Amino acid sequence: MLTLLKSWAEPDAFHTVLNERSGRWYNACLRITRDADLAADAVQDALLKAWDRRAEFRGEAALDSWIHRIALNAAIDLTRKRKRRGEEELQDEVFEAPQSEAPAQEYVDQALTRDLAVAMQRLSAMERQVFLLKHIEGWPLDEIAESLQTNVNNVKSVLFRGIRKLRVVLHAWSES
Amino acid sequence: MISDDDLILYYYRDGLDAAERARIGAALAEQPELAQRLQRLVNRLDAAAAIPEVSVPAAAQQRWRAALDQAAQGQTTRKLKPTRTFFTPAPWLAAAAIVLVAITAVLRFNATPPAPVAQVTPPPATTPAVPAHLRL
Repeated sequence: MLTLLKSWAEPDAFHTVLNERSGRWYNACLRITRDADLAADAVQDALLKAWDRRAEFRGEAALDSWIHRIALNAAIDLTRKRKRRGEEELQDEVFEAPQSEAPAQEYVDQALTRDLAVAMQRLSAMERQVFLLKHIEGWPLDEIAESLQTNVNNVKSVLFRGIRKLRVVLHAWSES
Repeated sequence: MISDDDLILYYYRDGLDAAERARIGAALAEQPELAQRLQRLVNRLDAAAAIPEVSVPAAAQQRWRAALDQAAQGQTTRKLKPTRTFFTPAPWLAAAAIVLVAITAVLRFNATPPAPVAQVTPPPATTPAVPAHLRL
């Protein structure tokens, strides 16, 4: 039992979960930051923070979920710092859809991807983050508020505003 | 009338109190068109969230592994750090001792020199040093 409890604290456990789940962390961070370098930095920050704080990890949640959450918070922090520095974001080429074998389906996929990119571009950084954290990551509103250093009512209004923008752009796709 | 915002919160099961949730749940059960509206709304949100995943750059993977290895190595190094003994004082104590010695040396070097000893000229030898009864 002691061995099981201690196993997550070993470097091997971190390497195993890194090999298996880093793609999920990276893509989640990429959605938040929209910057490949920042996403990679966020994952590295999360790994190091998780390693330093491994004594706090009680093993109730999977190590993967724990690091995933730390990585998202790191991505939010890095995006916030970049915003303070006034740097531009957006690297749309990183969101290119994978190639499809069927030409017609490929065209549809590319068109949808393009419209998704347009829809996401219309969102502010905070609108995008709130929507992604709520709709994809399933975070509770109060945790989103804490992570974004705001209150729940503000998170709600940002979420509604972002969704209204998305609905306008994606109206044609959802009806078809 | 139930707003789209309330439907969204109902879908997320978050941000509504129990009474409001019950009211919307009952309305959805009674009104098929409202249920369809919610379904259309969810479809749009799912479409917006359907961002294609990209593969992780190999360089990033290597960087993460190296960082993790370095962190693990650092932990080992910290563990191997020798404990301090009586003969290995704390760094701040050693630094304080050096500063004290330096200050003392500077003070001694810059101290004002002692006043020169006054040159007392001997009185003129007007009187002989030989007592009178012994003089020739």
